[in-house]
Amino acid sequence: MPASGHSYLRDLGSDVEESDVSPMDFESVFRRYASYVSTILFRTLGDRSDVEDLVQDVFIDAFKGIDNLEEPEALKGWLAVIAVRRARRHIRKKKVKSFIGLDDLAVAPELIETGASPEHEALIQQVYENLQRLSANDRLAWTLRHVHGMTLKEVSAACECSMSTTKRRVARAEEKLQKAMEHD
Amino acid sequence: MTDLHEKFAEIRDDIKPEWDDDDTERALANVPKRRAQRRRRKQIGGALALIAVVGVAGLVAINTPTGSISAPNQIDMVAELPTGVVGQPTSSAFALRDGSNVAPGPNSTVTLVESTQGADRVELEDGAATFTISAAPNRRVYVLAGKVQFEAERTTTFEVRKSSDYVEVFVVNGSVLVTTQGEQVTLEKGARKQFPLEDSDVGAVPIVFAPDSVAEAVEVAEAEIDAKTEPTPAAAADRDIDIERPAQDEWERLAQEREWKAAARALDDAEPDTIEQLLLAADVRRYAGQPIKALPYLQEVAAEHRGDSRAAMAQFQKGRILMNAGQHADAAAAFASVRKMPANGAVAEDALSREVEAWFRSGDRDKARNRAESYLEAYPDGYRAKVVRRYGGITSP
Repeated sequence: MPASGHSYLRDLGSDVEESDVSPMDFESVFRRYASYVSTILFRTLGDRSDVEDLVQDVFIDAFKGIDNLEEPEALKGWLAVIAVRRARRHIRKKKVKSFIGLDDLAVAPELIETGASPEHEALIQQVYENLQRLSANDRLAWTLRHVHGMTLKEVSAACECSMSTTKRRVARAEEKLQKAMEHD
Repeated sequence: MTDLHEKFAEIRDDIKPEWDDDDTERALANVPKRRAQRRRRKQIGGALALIAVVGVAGLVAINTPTGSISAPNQIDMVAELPTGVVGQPTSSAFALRDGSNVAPGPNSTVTLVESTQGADRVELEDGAATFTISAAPNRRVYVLAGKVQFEAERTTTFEVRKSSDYVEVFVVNGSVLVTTQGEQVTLEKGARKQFPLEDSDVGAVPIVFAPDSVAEAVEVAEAEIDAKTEPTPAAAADRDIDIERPAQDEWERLAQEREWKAAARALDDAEPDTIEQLLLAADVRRYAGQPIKALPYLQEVAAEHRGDSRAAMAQFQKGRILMNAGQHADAAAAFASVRKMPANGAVAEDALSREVEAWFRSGDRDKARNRAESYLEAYPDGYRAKVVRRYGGITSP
């Protein structure tokens, strides 16, 4: 991958379609990072439904904008950015649908390890239930930081916002979660 | 008490998403299917937009004096428009000498006041009209609505609506110079503003924006937001990842063309993201006749951008929607929360006055009176003082 972008995209000409890209390149990137992307989506959404579609969307979107990458090492971060964008849209869409009665905000339990203790399982459920009540941005910042374990800098890059905004969002989410869980 | 995130860190490992190599292979094998699905969605969106355009074209054709009820293409429609007659009020579309055209809306009246070699003057008497102005050197087109004058600065399409107390303009394309009582402002594509209808003998008044539309708040607050929250692409470039600017969605394009119904349909399948998109999405829902569906977007703006003056406008708008929906107590609560928002300067007075009205309509006369007293104390000469007194049950001094 050259510093200025992907030669295999450039060499195909300016009107290259995403489907014209060598399937080997797409497939190898997909195989290498699908698990990473799915983990971000699982942990931020707390829900397995639609994750397969979202993973596919992330890679399709990523290959559309892959020319924007200046460094090959940034690929993983680039995928995280797109995964977060997709997750954000998904959360908001679900909220709107739930608002107009087309969807509910139920929490799916399948992301909990089968060997987890009942206390841990209950806490995870409780946290994810309360995460539904947060704004999409606050929820994403908190889950990326404290569930996915990203550093603040990584969260900031993935959420495409400044470090101070990230800190604010994480703190706000934490405060709201604490309060909500005290009342549960 | 232990911080939640500390407690959660201990059990983070218990969150194990189920995704293995089989999932990867299955997802990869289904990528072509997903692409086809995405393409179909895009095509359906495009087809809906096309249907909407044809529908609108048909409606405009029916309104033309030719009486044609077929759906000719737009070039034919323009060619068939009769030239306007000076001094004759009309509710039908007509063309000006330079090929510009004027299309009054339903129950609307416009008059070609003057037509000379150098200029046309058109007055919007009642209702609304769309003006499509051709750029012609040495020739000007002036549109008057009350004391407000609009002049296209190049090839421009704009809409003007006149109500009993204000004039609203929306610039679909191009750029419009607005002159009102000695003040001038240029509005570019996508801008929507309202101008109060004042008596001419009041003297020059500043151009103020009535807090009726959330979209206009975008401009009111533009100067305030740069230093806040979201990063600019330039700032993002400093980081490792080059940020892609998302392409404009179909619903946004339709919204800019004021195809509200089509935009609303396209919006069903979209996810507004930025504050601008959320506000536009709310406008789309409102203008498409789905005000209740605007509420989640407005709520999101109010919750996520609290320090931004647009958040106060969004909350204000939410109050108005709830009020119109008959949910007066909820509306009052929404207006009350506007007052507590940090950047509410543009709507604080209005919010308080509407809160009085909302409490009155909810049947809580005590609260209505209490809020009315607060209003009169804060704004003794407020422009809504008369209305506030009425709803608050306070006799004039």
